[in-house]
Amino acid sequence: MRGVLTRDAATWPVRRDRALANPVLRANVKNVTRRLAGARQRAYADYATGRAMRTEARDAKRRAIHQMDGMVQELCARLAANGVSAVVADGPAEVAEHITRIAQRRGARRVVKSKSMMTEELDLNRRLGAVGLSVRETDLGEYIIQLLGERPSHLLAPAAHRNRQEVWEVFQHTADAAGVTGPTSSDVGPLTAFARARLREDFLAADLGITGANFLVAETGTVVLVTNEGNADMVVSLPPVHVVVAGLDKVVGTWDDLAALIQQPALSGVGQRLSAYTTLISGPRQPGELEGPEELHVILVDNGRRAVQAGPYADVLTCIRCGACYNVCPVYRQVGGHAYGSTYAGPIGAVSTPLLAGLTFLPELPRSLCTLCNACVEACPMDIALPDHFISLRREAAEAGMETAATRLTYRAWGRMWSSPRRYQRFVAWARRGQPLMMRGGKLVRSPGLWRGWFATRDMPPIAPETFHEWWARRRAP
Amino acid sequence: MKRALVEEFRARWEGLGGHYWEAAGPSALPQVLAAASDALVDRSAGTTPSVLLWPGHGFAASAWAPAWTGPAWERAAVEWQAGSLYLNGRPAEEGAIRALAARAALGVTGSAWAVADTGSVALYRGPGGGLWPSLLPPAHLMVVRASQVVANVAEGLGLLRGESETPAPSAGAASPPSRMPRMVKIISGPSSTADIEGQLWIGVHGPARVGVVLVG
Repeated sequence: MRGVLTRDAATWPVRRDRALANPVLRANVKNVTRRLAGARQRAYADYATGRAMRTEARDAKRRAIHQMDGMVQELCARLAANGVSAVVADGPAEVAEHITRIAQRRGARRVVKSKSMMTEELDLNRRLGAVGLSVRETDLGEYIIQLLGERPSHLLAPAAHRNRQEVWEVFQHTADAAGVTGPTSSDVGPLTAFARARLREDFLAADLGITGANFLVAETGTVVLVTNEGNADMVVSLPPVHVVVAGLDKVVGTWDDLAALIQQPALSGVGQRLSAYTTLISGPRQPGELEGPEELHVILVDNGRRAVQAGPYADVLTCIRCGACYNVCPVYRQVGGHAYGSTYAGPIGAVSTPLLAGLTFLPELPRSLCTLCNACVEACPMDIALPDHFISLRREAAEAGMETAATRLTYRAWGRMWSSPRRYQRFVAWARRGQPLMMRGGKLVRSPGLWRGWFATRDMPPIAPETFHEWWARRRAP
Repeated sequence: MKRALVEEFRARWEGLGGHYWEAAGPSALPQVLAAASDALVDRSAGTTPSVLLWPGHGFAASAWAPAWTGPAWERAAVEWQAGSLYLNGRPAEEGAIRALAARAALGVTGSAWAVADTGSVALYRGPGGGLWPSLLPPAHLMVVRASQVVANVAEGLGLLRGESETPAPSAGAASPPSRMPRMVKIISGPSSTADIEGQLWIGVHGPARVGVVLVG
């Protein structure tokens, strides 16, 4: 079954140009991606143990995806034995209904959330808002973009596209609306202190907490959360009810698998050996305990994952959402996350979005947002074959007739021309005859047809007066 | 060999921005805890800071309490005795502990184990111990036994997994029943964020200042 994803109504050229024309976005995205990519490289460079664990971690995730259904069953049984309710949901509507029922039964209205891409994918905040629940995002970056009415633009740094001045402005508005004192300046210290004070009130007043999960261990029925801020720890230990919403792809087999995986999100994501907070939850509050949720619910979400698992692209499900591929991608580094038009951006998003939601959903992602430079596969801790997937998704789109007639004809003509030496030589001879019209300052700067776009940002040297082939033929002539 | 692990832990922990002290033995602990608390707590507000003491992990609050005597501190202690929790000697209530944690200037806890390779400390939520003192106050101080320092995360997780295989003692026993704890928190440095312009900032939700007192 296909997944349901949200999308930006704007077309790709509009999204692209919006991003390229925003200097704040471009400066910040460049800065954040460069910093994170460097931190990742340094973290592995002096840490042989981390490099060795990465291979084990990758194999553990591959096993888990390969045996997904069995692992999910084992996990659900284990969770039930631990006193946790566990369900598998098809998609967004079912998840929202399930949480609504829990909230209604408990009389809960105020919800606090820690950062979760799964709930972004499901557009959960809007759905819960529609049934009267007030949902507060508590990760600092998520809080900022929630106040701005935006979506995250990076897996780890959701507000990577905004600067402190913009954050100050929106905090000021929030303070005015709430009748409290705003941050004293646009420095990071006062901004953070303001968010801490505001969110602290939300944590202490919340009736229900929602988190995602980085891993779910089938063998022990354990939910694992990795954060640096500590907001997830508030969400899981202050409200009386905790709901975990996680993709089927987050289930791993054994405790040993977890040991191999547990450091990878931090190593690849932010270049730390372990996140500031790693939290392992194996059940609700027990008799004799005075803290922790009375109820713990786990909702495992398909939303297109089972279909991907059954096909040739199953390894995209091994993604641990570390963001390493975003940080090295020359496309992402220019346009940021919103230009991709849906929840997941960067190379993994451009591949997994059409896989989850269908090849006709944002078809430009695999076609236009990849240069096949291979940086992503080098950075990916799970060795996901992203460039291969780009090529084969393009092939699938072409075979399904999704390209325009003009594109098809041009490529067919080009293919015919360049697939025999004789025709190639003739093509070069024609092009040389036409090139004087296309030159400026001794370089080729324009072209007719399909290649016009290529020259918009590049030039190239002209075809030589005598090519190697011609020179060789002349030398060999008797 | 244990000393080498302790040194490695210390270097990593301090590298993450954690504070570190050592106490030669249990009898030296109150004095070191007092010095550590003075270093971690911000007294600029002028009011008497409160400390929430909830050791768990087989430690006794009464043994540490002398560290926060006198007018300089307002002290609350949670302790497990014969099957239930007591707050300052009276049966403990959730709301009271939570309110104390929310306004405490310092939370003090024991710990289950610490990891040399990553500079991390693990805390268990269980009948004997709670996680609120590590979460709500702006400063958090942990006691780690030198014997609890393990080489890597996998070893620590192995200890945690082992908890579930210990048969539970009978009701009313002196120590809490042993089983895999329902919530475990592995702490590696202060609460931090880089969500605004990628600039690192500490103390966004949890404690900005975290300290370890290692007891030999």
